[in-house]
Amino acid sequence: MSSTVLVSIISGLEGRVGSNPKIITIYPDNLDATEEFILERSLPHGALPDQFFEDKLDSRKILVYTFEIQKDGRNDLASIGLVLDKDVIIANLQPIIKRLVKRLNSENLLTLEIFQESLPKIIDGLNKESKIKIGSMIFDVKSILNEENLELKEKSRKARGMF
Amino acid sequence: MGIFHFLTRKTKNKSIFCGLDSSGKSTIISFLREGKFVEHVPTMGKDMTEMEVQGIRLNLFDMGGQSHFRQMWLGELDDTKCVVFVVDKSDPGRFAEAKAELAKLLPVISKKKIKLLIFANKHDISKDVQLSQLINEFELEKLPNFELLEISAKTGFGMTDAFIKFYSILTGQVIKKNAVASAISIYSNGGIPLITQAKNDDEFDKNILEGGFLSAITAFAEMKVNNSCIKFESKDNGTFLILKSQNFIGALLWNDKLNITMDTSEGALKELLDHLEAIGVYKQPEKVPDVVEQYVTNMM
Repeated sequence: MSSTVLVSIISGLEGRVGSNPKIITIYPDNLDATEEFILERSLPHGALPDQFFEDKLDSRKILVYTFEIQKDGRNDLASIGLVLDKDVIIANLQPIIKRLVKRLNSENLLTLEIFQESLPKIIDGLNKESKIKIGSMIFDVKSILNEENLELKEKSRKARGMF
Repeated sequence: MGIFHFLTRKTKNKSIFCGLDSSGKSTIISFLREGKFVEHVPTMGKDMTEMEVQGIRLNLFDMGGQSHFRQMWLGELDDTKCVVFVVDKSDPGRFAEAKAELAKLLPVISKKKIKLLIFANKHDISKDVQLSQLINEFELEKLPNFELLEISAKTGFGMTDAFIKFYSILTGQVIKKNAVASAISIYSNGGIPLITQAKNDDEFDKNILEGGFLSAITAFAEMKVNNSCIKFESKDNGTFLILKSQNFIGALLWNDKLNITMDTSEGALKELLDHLEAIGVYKQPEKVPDVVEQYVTNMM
């Protein structure tokens, strides 16, 4: 089975005074584009929390989900950008990403640092449709897909007919 | 009129809100739109809000205040009628930085005859910083035209007056402030009086509201209903509207002399209660009088 997520990017704009938008991490770091170009696509202008954006990056589709990270002062704006394989059904991936972020938030695990550390596990879990374990939280991608009756990828069409 | 008239959508009555990061631009715009305090994440680039007030459409561009985005401000000035420059009055340490950013806009503002409105925000936590200090620090006396207003998008202090000024600058139309109550009282959800404010500090209205209805308020406090309004009509004094939110009870004295519908007054009382809930002031009841006093500047 080919990967669902080819590259993932975490970006953020912190709520503190003097902050600026920045890429927090790229995994795996193999994008052939400038940092500015990647940032423009992974944290688009006008983005507000809890929004999805779709664009092209490195001639592939990128799905971006923006969310809010609770802080003592002003909250941060952050995003997860996923560069996807062409067969991915974006509409089916969206609820999984949204549920993952919501779950991390409810478990007090939604910080840029934890996201940065756990990104390989998240991508692995999405690609293998398996369990993602972050701290004491277990997010089971497969069981959510089954529960919601969703497939992340288009089924390959077999040639039919007589040759 | 050609077909392009329908295809091109021009931005009319455009205003841009500029100012350093964390000065409160987005909070001001959402307060103008919703009448209550809403906490915001930083603005990513820019965000546009459209409002229609008295049949006139207004476009408010909220410009990100981070240094990364400040170069975009000048580019938005082209078809702008009004620049609202927001200063965090509680942070004198950043006045010089704010002044330098404003200075970059001034030549274009002056050349294009754009109106300049300066909101000194966060007045609730900087009452000791005088406007004269801001005028000096920003050398505003050198500007040919500007308006400077103290506001707080957290408590609501001065927001109606600020909007009236903004609206008249942007549209050239006059908008009148209507009092929505003769007196307003706020109680805890247990019926304990926290503050009463009367229009023009009228002791008579204040006493009517404070005195006569304590037992009704106490009874209302025991009812398990939120956001439902009860009304008592008094032949001599007007109508008392009482409304409950999760943590507060609000009472308002309405009468015909206000020239405003009872529904409008009820809506305004609901907004006040929503605002008190939104800023979480129920955790510090001792702060309620100050917050109400500041918000009520918009209502009477």
